[in-house]
Amino acid sequence: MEDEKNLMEEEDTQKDKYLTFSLGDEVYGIDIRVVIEIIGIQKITTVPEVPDYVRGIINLRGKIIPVVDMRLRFRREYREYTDRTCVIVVEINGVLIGLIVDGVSEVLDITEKNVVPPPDLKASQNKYIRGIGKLESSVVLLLDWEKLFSEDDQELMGSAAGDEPAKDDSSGAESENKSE
Amino acid sequence: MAEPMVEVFIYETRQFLEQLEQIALGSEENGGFSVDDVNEIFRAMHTIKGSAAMMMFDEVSTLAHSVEDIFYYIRELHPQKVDTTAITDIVLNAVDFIRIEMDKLDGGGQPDMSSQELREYTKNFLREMKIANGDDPDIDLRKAKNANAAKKEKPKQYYIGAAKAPAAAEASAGEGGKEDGIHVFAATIFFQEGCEMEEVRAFGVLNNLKEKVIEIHNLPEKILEDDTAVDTIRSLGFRIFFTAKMNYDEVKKELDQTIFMEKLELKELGSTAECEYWPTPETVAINAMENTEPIKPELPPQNERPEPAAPPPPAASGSRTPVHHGDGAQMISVRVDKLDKLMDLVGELVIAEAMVTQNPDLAGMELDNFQKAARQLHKINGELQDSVMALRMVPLEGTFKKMNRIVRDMTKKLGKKARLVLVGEDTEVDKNINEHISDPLMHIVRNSIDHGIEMPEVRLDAGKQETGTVTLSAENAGGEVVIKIKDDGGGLNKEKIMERARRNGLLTKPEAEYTDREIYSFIFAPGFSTKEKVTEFSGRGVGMDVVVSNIKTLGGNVIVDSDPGMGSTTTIRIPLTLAIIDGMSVSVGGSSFTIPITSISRSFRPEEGQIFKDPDGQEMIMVQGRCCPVVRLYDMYKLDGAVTEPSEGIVLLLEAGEKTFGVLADRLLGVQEIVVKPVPQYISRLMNTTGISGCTLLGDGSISLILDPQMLHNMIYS
Repeated sequence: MEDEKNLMEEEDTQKDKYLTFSLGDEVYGIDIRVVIEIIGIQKITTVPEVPDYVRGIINLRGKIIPVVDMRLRFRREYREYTDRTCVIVVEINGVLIGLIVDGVSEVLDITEKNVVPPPDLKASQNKYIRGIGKLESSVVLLLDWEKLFSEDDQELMGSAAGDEPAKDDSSGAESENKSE
Repeated sequence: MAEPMVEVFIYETRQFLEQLEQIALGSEENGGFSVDDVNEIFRAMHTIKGSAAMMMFDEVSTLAHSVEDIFYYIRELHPQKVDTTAITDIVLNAVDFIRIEMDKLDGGGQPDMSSQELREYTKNFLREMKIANGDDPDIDLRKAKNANAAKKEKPKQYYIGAAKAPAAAEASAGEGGKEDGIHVFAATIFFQEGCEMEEVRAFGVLNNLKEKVIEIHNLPEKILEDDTAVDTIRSLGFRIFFTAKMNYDEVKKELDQTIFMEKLELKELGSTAECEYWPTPETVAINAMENTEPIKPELPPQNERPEPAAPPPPAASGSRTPVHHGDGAQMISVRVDKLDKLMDLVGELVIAEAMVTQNPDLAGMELDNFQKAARQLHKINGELQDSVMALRMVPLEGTFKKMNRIVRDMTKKLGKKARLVLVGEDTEVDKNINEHISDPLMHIVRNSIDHGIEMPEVRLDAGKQETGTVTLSAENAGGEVVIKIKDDGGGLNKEKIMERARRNGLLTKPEAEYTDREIYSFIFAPGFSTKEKVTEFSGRGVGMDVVVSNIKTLGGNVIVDSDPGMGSTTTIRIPLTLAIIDGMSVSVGGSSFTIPITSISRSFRPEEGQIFKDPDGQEMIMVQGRCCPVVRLYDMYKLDGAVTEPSEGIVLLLEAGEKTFGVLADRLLGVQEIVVKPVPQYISRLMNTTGISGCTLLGDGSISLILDPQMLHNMIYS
């Protein structure tokens, strides 16, 4: 019970907080809740037969996690990685994924009333944007990470074998264990 | 609510179920229930009933109760006519029912199935059995016996004022009475008529109070151990006397929560001397000694208590867990996930060791002492690894014995005759393997009996023994465990399989080119069945593909051999260890790949021109008179910066099954113990055909992809 309370409070303190990162000229925000850590770019091992935005896998202190280049993910041009390039490690539904971004800026408080829904444009990438956060002098595109990665899932699931759901279950159970 | 308790309940119940199943099957084979069997079954059912009632799973406990009744009857009256098969059926059905409920509970659900039908059947069966044996079908054995017992034992019973406890105890207890706000209570609880298992419910009340009172005594004294207790509780009520710091209202509130309670009489007394029954400490001690067989299931808390209920100490249950006594070694049960964690840590340790000893910073240094220490570390790590592996090893016996049940059920339903012979069931395999092998074995054994073993008359005509034999054997063979399922039935029908494969569009090359083994392996294709009719057991075409996929996840393979008219043999080979293997790492361009050392037959640098092409552009190499295809890894995985001239790289000859093929890499990086890690799920979804089975970390912390020769082979040859 105590733990639950603490957890709730913790979630509350993370509410409306976004980690902002840049991709080219735009500034994106992602829920601080799902962010595990930010690391510099490191050696990526390429993996065959994956979409080009999946750059490969990296070794995060003994854990092997996939990394996704967000520029390529949003169909931008590939840009050489620099000192500024960062990997944001996020945990989504118990799965760790690294997001390669041009640079990480800061953690911002954006209350719900300052968030406006994106315009309803066809054929745009807006489906991955949950809303647009208004700041004094600029805007932040708030990433809908749930949609982003669940759509990936669907895309990927199309070519997956029948035994995949079983794996899903097991990873789900794992994450439950962790939270205990 | 009380998770650990549910866990223990499930664990214990499952153990009893397994025990029950084995006893029942054994008894049937021996043609009758021995006294020991009856007692064992009775005891197991009794305990399941008790603990299920505690957990408030009434459907389970009432079912156990009805089965227990049959054995109670057998135990007490030794009837002449006992239909062993029918009773075995009843026990097995009950076991199945309870097992399903346990699975539900384990999966986070609630046992919700009704056991009504089974219960009715069991009751009627008992009735008929009583009639067949000339007993009064309506006689309530317990009551009859209890009535006798009650008369006989009357002098022994303490109530009816017998316990005007010795003055000393009376005085001391009496004095302490009111001083620190300690109250003395006498309560009588009557349960609703027909709620059954009053003794267990009474025990629950007692258990609930135990923590809140100072001293408590009850009449009848022995609730669970004494057969007459139920009767006493029914007629006189369950009477408890206790001292507690609670006041009257609190006590009443506490007792009012009792389930199935009809009536509560609660009195506050002046001192313990007024209690009808208040034994001296000596009496209590003597009673405790008499209780040689404590059956003390714990009750889950019925109300929201702030502190979590303590799980029942596993040690206390030791006396009734079905272990064979006389084996001096002490056992503890450990959660599997703890072992998994330990295994993971050992894996990390192996990587960490490689990171230190093969650290690039050390390159080219003369480090005698360091090397010595590193070797020592390596040795200890190796031993640690072996010990942890050994911890996870369990004999196949349990899994094998489960097959007895399948053989029995199937032969009975199909009217065939077959027996199961187990060989090498004490072979130990990793827990993980043991779990995954169960389903495949079941499917194969089913198949053997359904398709393999012929009907008795056919067998006689063919000059075979009427009873067919299915042999299940296991042995360790050089880092692998080999499990064989052999039957002496009719064997596989090649023409039929071929025809079916043709119809299902499974053929990928001219029919004449198929070898026997390849034809037989069609039976593992999804949806494949040569049976025209779907039976309860097989023919739907699901199952055998499960065999293959399950065994593949274990890194093993399956082969079927068949001898027409003589039977067929299914051979399963599974590597003993899954997590840590010896691998050869090679570099290709900037990437590195690791290949299990067991599948590399040789590696060499080819001479210029040794590799030649066929008209389709497929490269080949002649090695020891054999012609093997060669794939260039950089080409296959689209890697830049690799060696493109074969004479500057290195060719590794890999073996997959009976095929050999070569892969071209840049150079060898060395042999290392590697820890197999799964490719992240996010990526693995796309990698069905790439020949990569996992990844591992090399000494310098970089990632290497593990190549699976079998998968590579399939890519090349398809």
